[in-house]
Amino acid sequence: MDYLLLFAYGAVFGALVVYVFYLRNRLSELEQRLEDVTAERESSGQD
Amino acid sequence: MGSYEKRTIGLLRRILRSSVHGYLTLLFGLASLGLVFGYASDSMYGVSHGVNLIAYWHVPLALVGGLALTVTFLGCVCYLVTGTRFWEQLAHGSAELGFVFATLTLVTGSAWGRVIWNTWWNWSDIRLVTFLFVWFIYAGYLIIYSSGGGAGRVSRLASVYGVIGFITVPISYASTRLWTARLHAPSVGNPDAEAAITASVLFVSLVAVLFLYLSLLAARVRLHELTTRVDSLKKRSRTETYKPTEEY
Repeated sequence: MDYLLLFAYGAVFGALVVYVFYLRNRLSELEQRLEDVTAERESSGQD
Repeated sequence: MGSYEKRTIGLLRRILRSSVHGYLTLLFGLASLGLVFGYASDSMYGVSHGVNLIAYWHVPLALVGGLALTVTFLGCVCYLVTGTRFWEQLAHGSAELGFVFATLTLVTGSAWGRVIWNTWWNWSDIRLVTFLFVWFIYAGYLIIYSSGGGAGRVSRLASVYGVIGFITVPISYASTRLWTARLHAPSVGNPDAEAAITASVLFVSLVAVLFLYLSLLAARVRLHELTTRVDSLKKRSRTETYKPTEEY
């Protein structure tokens, strides 16, 4: 297979994988924030 | 929020939350790759070369990229008119994807051009230069939006920028008809175009990229909505925690 064709299709799929990882990263960040809020609420409820 | 707007947002949310487009992306994506590497013609513009097969994803990426930026424009307009957060989130999600697709259009186009035109880039080709301009405009939009961190004033500023910046999109797509193109020739409706692309394979690839855009947009918009909900929960929690003590 031509190396330029491999490079071009590789760039397309590489970019898609990177974007999906970026979305997953944002989701993990959000989960952490939600955990923080829950912990904050629980600790304030105990006071 | 008016009842018409409520109904439109409800319909869009239903479309975005459906899992059908995820399965269709997989189905059409695999079909497209199978057809590109097993059936499509690699002879274009009088040159028979394997790299021509990139055209079957380069063209759909450019077209769906343009559609994504049009959705951004519409989202920005609706946000400025109504002030509903959903439109702003839709506009930003779509701009992010439009930017990714535009980047991939430039990368795949350069690789293709290296064989067909014997150059990676040519500053005298109007389509290339205007498309790069579009890329910079949307990089600017994403930077402005992310600098605000969801603040209302910055979101409005980003939306105004999104509306004005959209002018570059139709100019870029029509540039080969408006000015004389050195390398890109108008292909749609042009009987002199010698691309000789296999139309059925191009169509399957276009549908695949369209469903890919829809799936990723759905994930991005849902992430935006979740962020808004967590933020409001945090705000409510803080207000309850730091309630001023009653005076005696």
